[in-house]
Amino acid sequence: MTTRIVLVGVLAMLSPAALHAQNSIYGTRGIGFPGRPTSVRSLALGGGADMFDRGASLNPALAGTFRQVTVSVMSATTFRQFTANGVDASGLRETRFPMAFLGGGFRRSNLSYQLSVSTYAERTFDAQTTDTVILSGVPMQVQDQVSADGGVVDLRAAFGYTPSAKFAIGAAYHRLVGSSRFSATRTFESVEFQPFQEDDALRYSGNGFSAGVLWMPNPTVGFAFSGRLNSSLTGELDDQSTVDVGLPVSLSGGAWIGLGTQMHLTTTARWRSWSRGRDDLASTGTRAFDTWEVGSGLEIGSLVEGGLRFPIRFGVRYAQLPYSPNDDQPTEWNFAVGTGAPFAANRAVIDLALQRFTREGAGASEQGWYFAVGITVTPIQ
Amino acid sequence: MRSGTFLVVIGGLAMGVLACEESTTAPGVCPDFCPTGEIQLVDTVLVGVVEADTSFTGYVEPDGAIWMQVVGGDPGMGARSVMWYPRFRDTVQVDSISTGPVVELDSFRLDLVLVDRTSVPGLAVTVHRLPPTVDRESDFSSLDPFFEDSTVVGTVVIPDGVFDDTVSAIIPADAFPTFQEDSQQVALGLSIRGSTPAFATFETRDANLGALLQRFVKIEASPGDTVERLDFVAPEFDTFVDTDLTAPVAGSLIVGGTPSSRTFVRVLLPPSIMDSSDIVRAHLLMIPIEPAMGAPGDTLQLVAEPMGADFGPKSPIIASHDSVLVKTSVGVGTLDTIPVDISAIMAFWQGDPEQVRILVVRTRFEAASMAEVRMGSTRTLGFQPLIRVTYVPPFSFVQ
Repeated sequence: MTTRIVLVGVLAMLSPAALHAQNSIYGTRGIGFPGRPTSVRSLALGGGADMFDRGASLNPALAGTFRQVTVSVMSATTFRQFTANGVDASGLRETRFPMAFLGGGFRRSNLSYQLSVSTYAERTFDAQTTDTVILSGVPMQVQDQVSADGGVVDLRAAFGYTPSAKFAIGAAYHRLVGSSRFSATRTFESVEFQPFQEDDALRYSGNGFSAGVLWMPNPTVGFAFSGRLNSSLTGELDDQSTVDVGLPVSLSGGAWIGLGTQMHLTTTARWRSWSRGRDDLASTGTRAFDTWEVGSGLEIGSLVEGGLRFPIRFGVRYAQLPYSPNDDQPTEWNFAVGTGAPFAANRAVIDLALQRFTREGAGASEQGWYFAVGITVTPIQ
Repeated sequence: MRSGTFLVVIGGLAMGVLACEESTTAPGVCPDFCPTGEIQLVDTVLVGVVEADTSFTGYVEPDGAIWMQVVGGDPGMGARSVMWYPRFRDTVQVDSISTGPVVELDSFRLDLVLVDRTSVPGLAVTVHRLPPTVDRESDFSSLDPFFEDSTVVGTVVIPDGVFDDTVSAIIPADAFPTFQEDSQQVALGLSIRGSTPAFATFETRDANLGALLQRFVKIEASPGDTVERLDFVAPEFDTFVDTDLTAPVAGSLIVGGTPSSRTFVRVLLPPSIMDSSDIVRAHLLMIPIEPAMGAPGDTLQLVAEPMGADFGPKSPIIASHDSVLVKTSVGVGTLDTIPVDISAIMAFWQGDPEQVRILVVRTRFEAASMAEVRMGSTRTLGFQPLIRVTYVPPFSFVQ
């Protein structure tokens, strides 16, 4: 009981402010860089297991698979560099807690639940520029720094029902919250000029609804589908001014193929209509595009009884990015590896994933590594 | 837990902890990947935002100033310093316990603390003997009889290149033939003689001790035994008197002079600047209508401070510490526009919108010099005060 309380407490302590995913230069546009509702295991599989891994929050039908209380948290660190319009930046590093959930079942029923928090969009950046302005006919060097820290967090309450071992359905309500704390400063070469600083916070709010199904007709194949509708995302500044940005409809599908008892292949594809926000973002010079994401992964071994102690996971993923300053839509490739290990008398699992990402387009390119570690605990079995 | 699992667990956690240091600052790539537009900067001169202005005189008299000035060599203007000393005692300290009567007066030494001067070679200040009973309210011309050749008792030579130091003159005892009759009391005057315009400025008793006068004497330490000793007195009253400057043009704004004048300015910046923008620099531009007056080579330092309330001439100043005052130097003879830095005042007003939007311009050390500037007011066409302001309009984090 004490263990359960501690684990729930750890989950509760993960405030929305800490729940942001990997950052990117492409996150300076629109509502930020889209988060991935994925688990560490699925991350290592290139996101291919997003529709089948209940640590990922893409398919609410998976909420129906919980029978015991289960808690999971994820920490991830990004190491990245980018080149854009002749400007190089390297050594950038951020650590975030992009995903956490609590799941469990209702006694003597096939109904179960999952509460999760994950990143919907990351809006963290810290950009410095140097310029020369003419003041009273005299050139003056100025240094600007515009930064934001925060993002949009997806709070999800999902309920799933499993009428049989082969089928599950689920639905979820999503509440979008979070904030970005903005700061803009300008310092002058001359001390005669007072430094300029303005701070503000943009608080986000929105709603969403998702539904999904999981169908495993036999032990060697499975399918999953889910869809999600969102309201507009409303951002409100300290001065009460608001901005609305249309959020996408999302449709996802996945396939699971067992290649024997110790190997399986998973694939997930997702389409999102980010262009719904095109008109809202036009005044900022931001183009919004619909996106496709496809990821596949191969897992050799498993953590179930009799499986390999350390399963090996590989994955590859291709994704289009939603926002661009021009007509060139950026894209992303991910290559990932990972593993996992049970401990604490098989009541806990640690998963590790290392992902190499490259992003290209819109006059910029970005590369880096993304390291994630997750711990999932089922205190009572 | 098996050793392999243990290593995976510990390794994963350690990497997570070690990676916690953040490094997110990167060069901005504008405009394509600049987050929310650029910080705009507006640098403009605003006409007509000085709603009202006026000057008042009489705040500080020269006898309350921290400096006193001596000006000479210019037939059109002059200034003399005058110091009255308390009477010297009949006895002088022999040691820390006993005193002895003065049996012989040898000489005096006058120490002046120089704070500014004209950079002319061979500058010397003449020391005059004045009757201690002379009226302390005397003006420049009424003291003329006491600044004749016959009253000269010494000369303070100011070495070339020395601008701030203590300078001295030795005055023989016989320079004060009525010393005993005057109850051992002395009054001294300072002047600059010659035909080269020059000035020197010294500290007064309001700054520190002022011009110390030391006395070298022999005293009877014990019957039949005399020793040499010295004692000193600081002035009990010091001031300077100057010639009257020409009358100012009607409606002009005045800062400086003796007694000191201050200029009050009511500023009414547009709400779009005061309420919504960040002012990074602001200057009150004052346009002289006459060359700055005063001793040739002298410089005024102007400062601006906000008023706490509007009670006319007696409006209280919200005094700023001298270290945070931004000084504007104005050389005597200049006709250049005078930019008085009011950035801090603007920031203060922006932080407290209820404050009365009046500022006062004064000299940093009031009545410490005869220098004075006369500037155009809202009533003098073509010479009205202006405000030059550099500000950042509201920055929009969401465009």
